[in-house]
Amino acid sequence: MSRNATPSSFGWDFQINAAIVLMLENIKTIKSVRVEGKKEDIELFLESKKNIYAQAKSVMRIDDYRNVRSNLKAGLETLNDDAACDDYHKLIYVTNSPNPFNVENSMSAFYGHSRLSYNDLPQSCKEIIDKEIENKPLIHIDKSELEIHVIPFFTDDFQQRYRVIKDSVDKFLFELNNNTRGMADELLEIWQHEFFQNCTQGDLDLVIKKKDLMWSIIVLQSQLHPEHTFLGDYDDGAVEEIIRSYRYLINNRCEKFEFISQVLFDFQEFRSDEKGNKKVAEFIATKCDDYKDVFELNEIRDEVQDIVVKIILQKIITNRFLANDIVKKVNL
Amino acid sequence: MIFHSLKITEGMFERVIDLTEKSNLIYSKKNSTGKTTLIRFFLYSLAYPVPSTKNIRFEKCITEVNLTCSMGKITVLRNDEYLEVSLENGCKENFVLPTDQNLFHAKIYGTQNNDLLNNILGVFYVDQEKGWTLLNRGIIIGKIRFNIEQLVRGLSDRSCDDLTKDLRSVKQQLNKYKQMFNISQYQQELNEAENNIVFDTKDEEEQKLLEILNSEITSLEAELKRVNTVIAENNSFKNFIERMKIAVKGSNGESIPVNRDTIIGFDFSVEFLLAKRKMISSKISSLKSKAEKYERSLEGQLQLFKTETLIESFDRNISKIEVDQLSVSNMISSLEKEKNRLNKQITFLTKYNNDVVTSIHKTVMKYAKELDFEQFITPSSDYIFTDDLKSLSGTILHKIVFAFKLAYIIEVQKKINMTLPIILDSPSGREITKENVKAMIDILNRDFSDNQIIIASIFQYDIDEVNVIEIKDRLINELRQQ
Repeated sequence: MSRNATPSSFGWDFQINAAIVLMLENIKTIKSVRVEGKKEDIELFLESKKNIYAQAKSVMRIDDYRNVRSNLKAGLETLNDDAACDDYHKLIYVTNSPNPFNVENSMSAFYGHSRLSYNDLPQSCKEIIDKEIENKPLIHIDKSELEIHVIPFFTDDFQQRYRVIKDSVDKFLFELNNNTRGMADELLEIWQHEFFQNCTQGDLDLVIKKKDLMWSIIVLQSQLHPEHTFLGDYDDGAVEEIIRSYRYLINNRCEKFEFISQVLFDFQEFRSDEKGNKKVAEFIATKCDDYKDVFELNEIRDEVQDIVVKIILQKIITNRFLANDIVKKVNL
Repeated sequence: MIFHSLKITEGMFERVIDLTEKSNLIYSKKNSTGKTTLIRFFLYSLAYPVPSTKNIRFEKCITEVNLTCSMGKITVLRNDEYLEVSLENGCKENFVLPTDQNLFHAKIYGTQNNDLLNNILGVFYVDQEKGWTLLNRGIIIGKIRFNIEQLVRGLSDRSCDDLTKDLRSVKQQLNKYKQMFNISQYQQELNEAENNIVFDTKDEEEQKLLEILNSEITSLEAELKRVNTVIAENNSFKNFIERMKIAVKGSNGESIPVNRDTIIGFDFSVEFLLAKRKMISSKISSLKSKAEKYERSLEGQLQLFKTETLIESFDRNISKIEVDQLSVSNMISSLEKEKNRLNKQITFLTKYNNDVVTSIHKTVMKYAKELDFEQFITPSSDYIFTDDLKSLSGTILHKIVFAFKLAYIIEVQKKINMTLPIILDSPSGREITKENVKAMIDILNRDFSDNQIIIASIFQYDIDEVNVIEIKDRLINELRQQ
């Protein structure tokens, strides 16, 4: 992805990241997303067949208000066109300017990451919108469905620029499942890539399915990070080394259906007073020896066999837990 | 060995110098007339690589020397690099210099001993300038060196070939490491210079990143292949189950066929792997486009290099060389130690319990008494290896050199069973009194009456049966007048 700080690529970057934020805010109701779609900069397609249209406008410098008003006006015009079809659920004007109306005393309303409906806007801002709707006139806009979003998004330092975006991803993951901690950076990168691909594709019917985006979380979680294991009794370095050496075997076992099926069935049958991760840990500790036949050779040290089998069992079960959580919580 | 005559030809001109078997004095009333040139012609005619004098270019001249040596009475014709030896029986032998120099010397001196052959000139010839300060080590003339240890080894048949080979290799290594050390110092200078960022080679960084990217790509591609295999295996498992046409009974007694749609969790596995495959491929493609960017940038930099100055590209290349200054300097000090060890061993092998050493020392002592410098020579036979010449005055050194040479001659003659000529260029140095010269001449007259003596001087000496070869004007002029 080219991220040189030219105005156009900066605009693209903002549009993509704003789409990610809007997607996460509406994750339960949406089905798919399109960036740079037929009608709008960002189009969120809902299960209810209605759509959220978002017009994204960015400025490169945080204190440059020269064009914010004209940006807003152009944005409202486009949103008015979107609204003509009457298939919309919400109309959003999203920008990174902390002063989207160029009204100094309204700025405190847009502080930080803000989402304001028309009704919640300061009076001075409402008046600007009213005047615009009246003058043009913009007859299709239903002001009760109109929202103004501000996402802080500045500087050439990506860490800083994506701070708010990353916070959104982090919050989403936190609410999803407690085995997905620490994945936000990687997940954001994957999604940005996916959205960038989407917005550069000429075929405007191509959308990003929520399902596909959620799969990336499961795949990421299935990666072998030593800190994600329940192997607290073992030396971290040893676990890391074993993961490195047996990556192939572990991955293969975690992905082979026959084996997954066997493990999940056993887990289902396993009786325990514990729940969640504690039950998983108990199952693993109890049943570990039953699965030692994953090693075709017996020459491998017992401790190594233990660790490998435990990682495999844990991964299989937590993957399925996560999938279940995702299905439930994002309404897949 | 005795010179009978020497014919020098230079183009149209030539001169024949006849010598007697006894004493010969090359004499001119004043300096710079060609005495030294003539002396050097004798050496030149014997295939020695001696430097030309101001007056004459040796390689433009043809020499023909008549001499008696261990090959018998022979004539040696030298024309630049070409040497032709005519034996008494009419046979001829050809030599090409410098390759055959040792071979030829082995024949005329009658020995194969290289330690001896390499040092023999320094035994019987004393150059007018440095010769009288050259006692036991140093340059005789041109690039021909003299080394007493080597001579003593030659005289006593104590070859240290292996050790000297080792020593040579250690010295070569030492040399290389010292160069390396210089490079590291140069690098340090580059780093300390303010513009070091210029040489903090960007391309090197990019090269490294590119390598990392490529290795990541390779491992991801392997992972992709693995995932594809698992997908295929899962599919064939599903097909296997479906082919068996199994049905199970539902809770309401209904019959449920076992297939892809009814196997619990199968779809999950499929989708999981498809998602994983997609993620890996997309990561590969994004890494590849990054790698391409680096490749392009590296190519661009290559183009850029063409325009930098020689010194810039030199500095850049130097700064790329990895030299660990510390380990280089450790290496140098360990090689220095090894060099010293080898030197010591060679010295020990040379000196230890060696009759030749005692004998040379005895002769030197004998002449020291006669020439009155006894107090400067220590009684230990080790003295002949001394390197303390600074404490000696010019006159004393002159006499000591003379005594050493005579001692060498005596030993070498014993070894090769042949008398050597004694060739002295200007024995009357600035500080030498007439009495001293006379004492030296007396010794030659008395103890070396069998040796042919060739002396070049502006003085007339009281030498027995002397054959005076007078050079009236310059040697070169006389050549042309004939």
